[in-house]
Amino acid sequence: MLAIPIPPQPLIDMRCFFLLYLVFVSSFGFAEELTDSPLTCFFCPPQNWEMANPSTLSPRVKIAFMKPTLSGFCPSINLSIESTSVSLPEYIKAVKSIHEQDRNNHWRALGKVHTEAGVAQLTQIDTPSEWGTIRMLQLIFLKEGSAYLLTAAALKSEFSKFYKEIQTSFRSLTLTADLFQPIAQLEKKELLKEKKGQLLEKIAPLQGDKPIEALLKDPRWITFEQEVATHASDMGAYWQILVLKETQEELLNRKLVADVTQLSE
Amino acid sequence: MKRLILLLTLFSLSAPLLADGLDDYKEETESLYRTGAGSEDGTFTAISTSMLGWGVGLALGIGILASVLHQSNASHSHTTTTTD
Repeated sequence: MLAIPIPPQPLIDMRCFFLLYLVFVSSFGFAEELTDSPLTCFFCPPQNWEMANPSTLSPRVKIAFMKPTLSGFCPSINLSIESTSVSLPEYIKAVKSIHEQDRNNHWRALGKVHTEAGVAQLTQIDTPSEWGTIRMLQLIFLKEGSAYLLTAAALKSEFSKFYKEIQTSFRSLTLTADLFQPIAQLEKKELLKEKKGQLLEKIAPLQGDKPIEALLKDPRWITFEQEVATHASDMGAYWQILVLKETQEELLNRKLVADVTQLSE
Repeated sequence: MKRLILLLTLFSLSAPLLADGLDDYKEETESLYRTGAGSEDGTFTAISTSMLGWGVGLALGIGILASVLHQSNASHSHTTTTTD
């Protein structure tokens, strides 16, 4: 009799392994994020300020906005987040020493500011440049092992023109575990939560082998984007980006879990 | 000889403890050294964004000027053609 060689069967399908790996990696990453800070930080940028190219931002900077002008140095605002174990006075001391290393800089603490997140410290840095003296206001807020910083810059000579807008943005600094919680109008809050739930229910079971990029071209996703922009225009562009990003991540997680379940059956 | 062996044993036992202590010290020093990096990143990005924004504005201005010049030239050549 002829002995037919039987190829060794892999214990687990390669694709299934890859998906499991992705699920584990994403769950560990998510857990790490939760351990670092379960809170999401956002602020409302001034109206008609444009989002800066994310590829040009420094490592700890999450987002930046600017007001393009033809007259020279344009005003900008950005949010940076840093993990830290020190207290607010120690952090301020460290910040002061960093900025005072350059003798041309003039740093000073301006006092406390009430924000949506709590009481924060306001500081000011003046630095010379080709355009004239640049004035930066930096708001520092520490909570649960993280430092949240809003930095606004404009020419010292023009700063008074933008001060009100910058002050309003600083006061809008919010930390929340639920992005929908800060929406003031209950109706809008419930409507957006419902729309998100409907989207996740409708899109997630139909995903199959489609990549997430293709799903984001789905008309239902585009409608959801428009609804977020319309119903929550007062929450600002950064909040809208965060909501869409959170929904995308939930869609991706559901897709991975669905794929693994399908393969294991 | 016995003393030497005892000293060597003690040293070999204490070496990992010392190394751990040094690692902890190094981590603490580094974390304190890094404190304030978020502020530095914030100010750096604020200035660079404002400068890039000026570049975008300048490019926009040049674009508008170029289109105005192009239109002006086009209307001039159009006028020339009609007069010819």
